[in-house]
Amino acid sequence: MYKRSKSRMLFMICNYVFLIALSIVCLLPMLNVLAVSFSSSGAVSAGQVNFWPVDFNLHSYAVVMKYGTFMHSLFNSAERLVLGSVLSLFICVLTAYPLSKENDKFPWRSIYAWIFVITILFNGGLIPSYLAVKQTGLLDTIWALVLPGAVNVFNVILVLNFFRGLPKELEESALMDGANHLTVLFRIYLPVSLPSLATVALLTMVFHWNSWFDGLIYMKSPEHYPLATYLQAVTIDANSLKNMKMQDPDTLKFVSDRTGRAAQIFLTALPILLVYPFLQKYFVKGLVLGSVKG
Amino acid sequence: MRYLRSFKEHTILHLMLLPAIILVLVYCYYPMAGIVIAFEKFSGFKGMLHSPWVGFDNFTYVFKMPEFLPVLRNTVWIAVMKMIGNLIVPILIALLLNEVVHTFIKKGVQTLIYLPHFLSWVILAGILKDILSPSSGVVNQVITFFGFNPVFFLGDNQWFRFVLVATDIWKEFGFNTIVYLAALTAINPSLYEAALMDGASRWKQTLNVTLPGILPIIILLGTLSLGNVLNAGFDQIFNLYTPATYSSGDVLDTLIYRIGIVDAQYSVSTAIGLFKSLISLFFISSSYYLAYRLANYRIF
Amino acid sequence: MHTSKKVIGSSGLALILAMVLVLSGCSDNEAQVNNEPKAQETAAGTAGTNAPAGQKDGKYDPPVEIVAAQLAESNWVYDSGDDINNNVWSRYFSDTLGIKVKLDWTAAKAEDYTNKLNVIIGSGDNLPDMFQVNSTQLQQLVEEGQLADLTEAFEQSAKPFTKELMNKDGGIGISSATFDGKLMALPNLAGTITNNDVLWLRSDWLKKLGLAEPASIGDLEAIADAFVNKDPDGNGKKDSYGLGIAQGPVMTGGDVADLGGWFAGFKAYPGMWVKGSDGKIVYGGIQPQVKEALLKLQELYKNGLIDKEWIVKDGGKLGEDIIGNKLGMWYGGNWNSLWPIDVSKNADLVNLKPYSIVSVDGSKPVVQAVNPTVNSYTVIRKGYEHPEAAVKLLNEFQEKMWGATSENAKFGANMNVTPVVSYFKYPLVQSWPTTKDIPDNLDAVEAALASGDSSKLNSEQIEAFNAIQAFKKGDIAKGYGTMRQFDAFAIIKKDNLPNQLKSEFYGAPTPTMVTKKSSLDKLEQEVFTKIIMNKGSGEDFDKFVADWNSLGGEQITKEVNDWKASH
Repeated sequence: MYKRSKSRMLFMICNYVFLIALSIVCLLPMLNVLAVSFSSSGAVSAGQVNFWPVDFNLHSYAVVMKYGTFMHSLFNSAERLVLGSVLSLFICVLTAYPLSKENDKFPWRSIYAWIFVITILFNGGLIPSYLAVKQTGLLDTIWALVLPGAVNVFNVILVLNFFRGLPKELEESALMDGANHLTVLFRIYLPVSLPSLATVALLTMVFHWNSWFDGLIYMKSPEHYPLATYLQAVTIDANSLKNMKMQDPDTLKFVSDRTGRAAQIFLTALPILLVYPFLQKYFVKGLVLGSVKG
Repeated sequence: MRYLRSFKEHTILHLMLLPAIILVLVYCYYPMAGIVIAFEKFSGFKGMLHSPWVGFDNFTYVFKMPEFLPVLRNTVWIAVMKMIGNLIVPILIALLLNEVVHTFIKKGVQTLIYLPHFLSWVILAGILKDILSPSSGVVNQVITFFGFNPVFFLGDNQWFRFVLVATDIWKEFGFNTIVYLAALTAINPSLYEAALMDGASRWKQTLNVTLPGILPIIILLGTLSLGNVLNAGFDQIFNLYTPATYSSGDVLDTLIYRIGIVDAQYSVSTAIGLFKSLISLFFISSSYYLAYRLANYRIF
Repeated sequence: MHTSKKVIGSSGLALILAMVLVLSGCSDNEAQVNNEPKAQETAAGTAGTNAPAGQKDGKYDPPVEIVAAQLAESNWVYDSGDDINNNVWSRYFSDTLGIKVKLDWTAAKAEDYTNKLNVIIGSGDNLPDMFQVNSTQLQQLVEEGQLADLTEAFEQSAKPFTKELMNKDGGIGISSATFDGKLMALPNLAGTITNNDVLWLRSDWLKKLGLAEPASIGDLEAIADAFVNKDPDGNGKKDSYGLGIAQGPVMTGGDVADLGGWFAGFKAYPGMWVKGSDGKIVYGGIQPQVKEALLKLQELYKNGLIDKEWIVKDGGKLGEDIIGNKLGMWYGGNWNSLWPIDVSKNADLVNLKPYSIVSVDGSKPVVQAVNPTVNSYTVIRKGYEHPEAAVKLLNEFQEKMWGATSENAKFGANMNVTPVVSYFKYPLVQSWPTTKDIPDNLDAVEAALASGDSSKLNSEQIEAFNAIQAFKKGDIAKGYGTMRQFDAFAIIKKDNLPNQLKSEFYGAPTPTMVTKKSSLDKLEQEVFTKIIMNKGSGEDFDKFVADWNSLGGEQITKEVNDWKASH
């Protein structure tokens, strides 16, 4: 395909070596966390655990997951993830489309764009946001976690820029054929924007899965916490370890603050890591626009 | 008049914006009224409307704190270095990944470099203390192997900020790369074909096709990141700094934490927040204006 | 990090006192029972038929409901079918008092509770009828006029036994909850001198190196030197430290590898308010003794007796050094044997024992300044109809925990299951005898160990008794933590109980503290750390004193003295 010059070969080799080395540097800490989460706390504090578990056991996971509200929280998080991502994505494309028009086609766009951008810059802070959620009656409902952040302006701007990059002829010919804007958006734009949508979907899902502070503030009982809030609340700290020593000394042989936290990290990251490969194919290989254009 | 007439023409476009506008009005603009707290001696029970008005007292209180100037200097230094690093490194990695022809390796590398994003700073702080330890850490073993003196990265004010910047970039570059990778896929393949036809080398193609292709995204992300000019990253610093590195690592957010969260002084933390917002607004509008004036390009 | 002061318990002394009080207590109770309906009848008479819930035998009839908010930690264990809303205590309260506590919201961790409550206070949202606050929140709510005055409720409804327990600390706790002569909250008291430091030391290392128990700072220095240079663990490597200090550093006692005990050896008390030579209250952290103590630490640091990396090591990390035979001496709270020392990971740690802390001139005993400990305050929202209900709940809690009719198996903890079910955690309104650990539990357990009769012990004491028995029978892993904790109690009792130096200030933060204290604390930590790490000198300390005063410290000192004058 390309000229296979010597310098090109050299570059490719260096590139592969560099990228693989980089990947290893990124992988090792995660492997270490994983190994720690499956090891006994004794081996961990003796510094014996590197990248492979020592005294393999699941106690840390058991301790983190044993409280009654774990399953509730898992369900809440799943609900939040689905509702939040679908709603966010829908609003995102709906908003990005008009804003992607040129000024002469839609003179209002700049005004709207700034209305949205201002929200990135200014916010009233915790207390006024809490009041807004309370006054709209969302307190202690799943919507308190979904609606306030449903418009992610960063994502909107990202998508609108992708839309702007699409060939103008796509839209013009369709409008000429009598299609309206909604049809253009959903029938023509979206199918060719899958990489950007996948990106935004991933960002949104990671956001929803990892957010914990709103769950804490807006939910009245731990049963309504999303998983991230639950996990930060069951932190295994010095105090709980002391209690455990009195109440449940056998478990303590396997669990420490480090193994517990490692298990939490892995539980938090796991679902997103599972989803990633499915979205990933969209970033790796672009869609061939030519066929649509033809 | 032009706006009014065009409003009717574009009813459907307005309607498409309606849901987002309503949500933004209720959950962003309505709470934004809370900014008045910055000018009050705020009491929740008196409410925003009836709390005593103190003008700029909260601002002068913060600006006059003895640690304010050093803190501001640290914040800007750390935030700007992170901004630059977090912009450039992901672009480089995305470009390098783009050269990889084996899909398996491409996917693998992508997945792996995005792992650190999921590690929390609490746990990373523990790992960093181990690998950066002057007596037993891997990094210092390498340094001493080459005949240098070990460096106490986390306890030395000369090094601490570099550690903050480097580890932050390491943690986030994989995640930030995703956006560029998505942008790369949107480049029209026929442009490469044309370049190839002209006999352009791979390096020339990168310069003339790939980079211009993702330039809008680079400008966009660069501009938006200007909003972070005073965000040095709370979680990271809070977990890594010590009294020995206060003078290089104390930043606005840790200051807010100490005076705002611990003592629940909302007026003061709102004032600092407003200060940060105004600075960000200045930078973002300037770059928007410059891009528009110089390149006739609207960033958003 | 706090001690196990909230953990379990009851008090031998309280028990004895309760028995002494049985006669008078009973008659008082009868009098109360007889009086109350009368008072209620009169009230009902004047208020007509719309009278609020009346009381029969001290029981509300019809029952009253209190909307509350509570910290219910995620690691609490319940009997099957029970939860925070329905458990042995809630049933008891509704059966005997006619009080139903309905939880509007709960939080699973102390920090979360504070955050949520701050948001609610900050937004002026509806407060629950009854909830717990910290001293900052208490101050804030009192200033805003949001709390009910409990003076009368406490005066009239508190049983003599309750009043007795609530004043066991010399009235300091009650005083800290009193504003302009009005009691605005019920303090949740805990042990005071329990927080004093002991010196944790590897006795096997001492023996191996032929060293005696330290009697002065000089001895301690010699031990530290030997620990570093004479390879106490015999692994052939120079990899052990002399004196352990944890990051922070924590200036007061009761933590892991803090500096409270060290400072006390120099009669220095940073973080505390002590009496100056002129009788006025002064801040302990700016006194010349502190400089002396810091410069001595600097000397240790320069001589390599303190880990060069101490500033990045927290308690957990130090735990790893302890387990790895690298650290054999540090100042810490009585509970260090429970955490971070972990004998299950290194059997040699059984030789880690608590010792008396030492002073620079070898004098004994070294008195550490203690903060009166109020864990939290229970408050009632202004306008709630039955403020006395909180007092009644407290009556019953203390009665059933430590009173004449205490039932530990039912209300304290169930020891026969793993994990142990700790019932005593459930009630919202709590307060503990300030003498619980030292001397109550200590004396009771020691007596039981001597006589072999554990029948008089309460559940917490039985747990300790069993653990110590297990230790003596060779079950080190089970018994070590409690065994050594009680050793530490004994040392604190011997050294500190007869001769206490109390922090003079125990009120809510003064106005200047709210605005300036965080900066001053930061300055203190920064300067002290630099001096210890040999990056600062004695002159830096003098400059710190001047800065501290000019940056608000002087004003705070004035406010503290004004506060003292009014309390």
